[in-house]
Amino acid sequence: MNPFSYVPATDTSSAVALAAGGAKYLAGGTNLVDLMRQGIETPRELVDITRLPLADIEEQPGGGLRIGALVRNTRVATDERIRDRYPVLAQAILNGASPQLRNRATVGGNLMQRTRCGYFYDRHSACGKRDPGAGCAALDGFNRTHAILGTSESCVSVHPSDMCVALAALDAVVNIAGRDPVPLVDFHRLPGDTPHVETMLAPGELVTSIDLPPAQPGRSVYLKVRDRASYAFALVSVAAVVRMEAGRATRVRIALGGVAAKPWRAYEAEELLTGTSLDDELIHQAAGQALAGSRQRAHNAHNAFKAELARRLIRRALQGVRS
Amino acid sequence: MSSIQLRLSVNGREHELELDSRVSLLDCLREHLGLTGTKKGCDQGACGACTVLLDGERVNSCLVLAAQCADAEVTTIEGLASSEAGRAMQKAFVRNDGLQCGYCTPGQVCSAVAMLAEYEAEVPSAVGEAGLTDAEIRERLAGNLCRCGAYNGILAAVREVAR
Amino acid sequence: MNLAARGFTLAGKALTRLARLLPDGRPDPLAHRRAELGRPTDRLDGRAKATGAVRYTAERQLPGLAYAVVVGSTIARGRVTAVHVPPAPGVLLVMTHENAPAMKRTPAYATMKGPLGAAAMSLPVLNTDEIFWYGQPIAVVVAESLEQARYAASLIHADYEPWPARLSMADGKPYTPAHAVLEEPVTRRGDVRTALGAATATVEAEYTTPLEHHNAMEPHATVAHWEGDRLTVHDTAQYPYGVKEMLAKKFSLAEENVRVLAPFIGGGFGGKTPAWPHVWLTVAAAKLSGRPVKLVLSRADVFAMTGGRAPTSSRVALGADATGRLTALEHHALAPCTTDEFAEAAVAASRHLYTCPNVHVAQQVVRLDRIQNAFFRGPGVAPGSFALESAMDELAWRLGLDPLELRLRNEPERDPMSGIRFTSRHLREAYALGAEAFGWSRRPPAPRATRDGRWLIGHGMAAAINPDAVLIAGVQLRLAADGTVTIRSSTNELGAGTSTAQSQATADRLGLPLDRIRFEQGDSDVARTRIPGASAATTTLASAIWSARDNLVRELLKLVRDTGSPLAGRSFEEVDTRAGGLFGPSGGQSYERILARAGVEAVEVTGKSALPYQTVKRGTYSYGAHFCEVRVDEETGEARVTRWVGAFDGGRIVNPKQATSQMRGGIIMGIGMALTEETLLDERTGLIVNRSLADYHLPTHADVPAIDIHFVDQPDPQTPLGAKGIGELGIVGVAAAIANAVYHATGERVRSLPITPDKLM
Repeated sequence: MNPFSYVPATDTSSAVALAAGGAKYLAGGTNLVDLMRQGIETPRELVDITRLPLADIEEQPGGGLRIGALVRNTRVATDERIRDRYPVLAQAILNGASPQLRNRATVGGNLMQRTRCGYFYDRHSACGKRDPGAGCAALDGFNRTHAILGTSESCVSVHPSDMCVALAALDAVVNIAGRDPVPLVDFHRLPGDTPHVETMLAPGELVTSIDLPPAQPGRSVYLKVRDRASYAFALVSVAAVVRMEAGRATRVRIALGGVAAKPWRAYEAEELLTGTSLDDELIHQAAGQALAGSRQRAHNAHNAFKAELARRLIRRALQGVRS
Repeated sequence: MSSIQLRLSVNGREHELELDSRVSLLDCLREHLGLTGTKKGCDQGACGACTVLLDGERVNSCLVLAAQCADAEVTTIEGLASSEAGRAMQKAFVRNDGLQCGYCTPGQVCSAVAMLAEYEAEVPSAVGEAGLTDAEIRERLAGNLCRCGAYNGILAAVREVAR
Repeated sequence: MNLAARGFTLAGKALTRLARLLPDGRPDPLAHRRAELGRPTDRLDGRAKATGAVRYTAERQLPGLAYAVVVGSTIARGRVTAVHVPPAPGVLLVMTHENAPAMKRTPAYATMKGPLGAAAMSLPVLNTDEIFWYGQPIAVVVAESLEQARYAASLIHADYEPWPARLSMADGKPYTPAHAVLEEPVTRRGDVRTALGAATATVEAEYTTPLEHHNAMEPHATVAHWEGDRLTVHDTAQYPYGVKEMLAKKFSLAEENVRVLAPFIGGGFGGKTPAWPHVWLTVAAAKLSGRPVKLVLSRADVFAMTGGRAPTSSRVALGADATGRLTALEHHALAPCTTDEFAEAAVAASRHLYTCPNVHVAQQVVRLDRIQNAFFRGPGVAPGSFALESAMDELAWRLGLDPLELRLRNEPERDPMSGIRFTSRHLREAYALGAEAFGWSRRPPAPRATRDGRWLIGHGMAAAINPDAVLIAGVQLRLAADGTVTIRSSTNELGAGTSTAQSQATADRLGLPLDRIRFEQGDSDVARTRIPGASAATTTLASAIWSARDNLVRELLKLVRDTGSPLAGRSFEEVDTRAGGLFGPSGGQSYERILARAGVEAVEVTGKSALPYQTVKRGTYSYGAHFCEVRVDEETGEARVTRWVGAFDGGRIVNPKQATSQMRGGIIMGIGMALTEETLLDERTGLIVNRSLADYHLPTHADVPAIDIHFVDQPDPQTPLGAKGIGELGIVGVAAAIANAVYHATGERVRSLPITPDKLM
């Protein structure tokens, strides 16, 4: 960890001003402190934003909820309104990390998590996230946990968040200090030739809150498959939110985790299913559609199983929520 | 060195400290305050051995900078012995052989005490069963690894205290 | 077979013949006469551990202590041509191959060559510019604070001249090592191939286990402190005496000038048996910097700078006749090793578990440019039994025979390899206990026959075996005037419960209540003690304490010679230690009284373990049977262990509470081995990619079911306390039992560990 100065911020505008000068925001620290200790993140200055007034969950006019960027994950998952109206979000959070980490980690920080790729974490391996243009050691290395959708020759890493998968399925919106809100599905970026650019935030910009649109009647589920029963990142996860009216799905949202550098919305599958009774055959077809664009290396594709796993999870999720 | 000054309350005792800003809460406890009951197993939030209570909530002290704890109240395994809940849990661990090498044990004990408080406060878990079932306890303690494999004994200890 | 291997084989055969002439072990009265022994006593150090009061190695504070961090190489083979050391605040020393003091080369412990110092490898780390593995220490930074040392280390980088590195098994030529964990590497009897041709049912398959790391929760740590020519080292050593010997040699010191202290270790499992290079580099850094130095490996360093269990591949062929009797058993195993040849002897279980007329077992190794591999709980037998016990299950299905019945039909009366007798073998009783507790007879006969919603449910079983060893130990015994006894030993408390078990043994040996006994441990200077592991602490220490008791009796008889005591004039054979004192045919006296009458403050004696003739003369093994239920999600391939019964023959059980925990711990480690654990070494570079506990998946609370443990609890007539080692037994056979249950659940046979979801989809 390199030496840095530590500044506790007292108000948002001064925090943003410090960050404009190159400081990095520190909130729960559950990812940043680790990355600094590994020498992956090397800020000269840290602005501790944990005391900024961004730690409330508030009702919005029109029935939505606003979750402050500094609300801890445990609080989100415990909040009665979230559990009643957006249970998929509580489920997703509770399926991630450990209670200790969730007590500390914030909603904003969860959004800003960086990938857990072992080559990204090793300063001596080729990684375009750390060293733009350096290539990607995972392409021909151990990539069993890596992405199958939206990948590039520069990067096959995945975004590790569970929470963001649920937020994507809920059509959440990210509020950023000093600019227009951004839909969560547009917040994270696919790697392309610039894997080091992970979100649409400009340097120094601050996420202030997440807006959940008014809850839709219907059912939802979050399913996650991992290598052990708990306390592990997803191999594949699915968040599905479905509104059924008179036996027809009038609104379908499907988001995948563990498959891409961002929470992945399966728009074509959603479209295919909307207006239908979600019968098995259509679900099967939609699950296939969702993974139609999946790509694995011709050789060295340790992650090839993820496409089939994702299809099966989508089917299970939809069969679970259609009744 | 970028240093910071802070007042830190640990187990009810106030400390005035001047520290390198890089010092984690865990290293502050172990290297600067002589409170070595809190253990370092991975230093990256992946094992739970460093679990302490920060303002009453269990956290991985390796991922918290000491600087962030100004004016906070920290309770470690050493401090837990002065609470009834803590003493009861420590005794139950011994009685049910919920420990072997003992290295993960302080973290397990802190975590278990906080877990019961979380359960009382209706913090949910991914298991979502009614009541504090074995599956619930296991999931709620999944953030504390034990390589000796004392999990059965730990579960029995927590059950005994929760009764 | 190479020449060394042939030599070992010949020596082994000669030893076996000679051994038949040796006397039997001395029957231990404590196998039957027990008061504290056999009680489920709470761990005596439990409170200190549960309250955080125990101080582990990294928690030693010394005045002027400086902090060290190691920098590892980023190539696997080649030369360091330059080490660049940018200036950084607080740095006291950067030690590289250019300024490190000369350290003598010492043989690698696992090769069993020469005196068994604890060095993990013979390589001259930091006394050469040559690189032998990825992550080899190339520099040690010593600074005033941990934060400064870590930062300075992160700035250091090196230039290399890389050489071709042999990193994959295909990069080397398999050859036969000198030995396979102290057994011959190759054994051949009868004609396996012909027998296979004539068999009613056969199985031929290949089974693989991956590289694994011990990952004790406490990372390796060393604190070194010089005072002139005297060196004191606090180390996370499973084998303190071996570390002392090694350091004395490396730094050309008289042995009495080196003291190694390691009372409490936060888990070892074999990973802390050898001293990895950081141990002697910390000592060198302390010497060079003139400061006491503490070095704690980061978790990533634990992966890179300490070895794990070598991956294995096993080709097993079994043949049986129509009655289910084995007619052919072939097990060819291959594992990587380094220039310090140590084979992960996967063939071990196949030698001793079943009777069979035609046998061919052969262990081979391939030399690679990786870090030295290490002993790991159940070395050889844990991975090898996955192969053998999976193959036995496959054979049972082919024969249409219950897998338990198949095992019973092939249970040997004598050690199948040598024909020598067993000291005791109660595997049949373990099978019966376990099967009854599990309800094995109610197992549905067909695979894929039981379902609970999305879960397919299967039952599996496997046998366990582990060689039992009595090694070398000395103890000091001090009887004080108040009737309390202190035992001092160079062994330590790793979590197995040694201190509690030996306190119980001492209490019964002397006829004292447990609260009169104190056990002090982990000081290399107490006595020459060679218990690096091998589940040998219980019987070896019990033997040493038994000898100390005999010496105590002799000393006490001298004290009562002229006191008019009922003991005066009695011979050693006429008296016994019981009921708090020494008693003869015409009465006795309490220890306090004997000492008071003699006006003596205390009596101090030593004791040494007896030579373990019985384990050379006869086959001494611990045994077990695992029965488990596994659920497999039909669609996602997730496998969860939901029920477990283990039944074991570990001789007489010293402390059932601790022993139960020990067995559960082994089983849980086996669950990890079966389902989640694998160290990913990138064969392009040698980098370990998942070098963290977030990516190397140990089982969590949520992965572990209730584990029901039973003991046969029959004394072994030849061993101290009638006990046999159980520390490693629990893990053996676990992976096979799970794979067999997975087959029963799904109809899918997985022969490559770990059984991750992708393999079952």
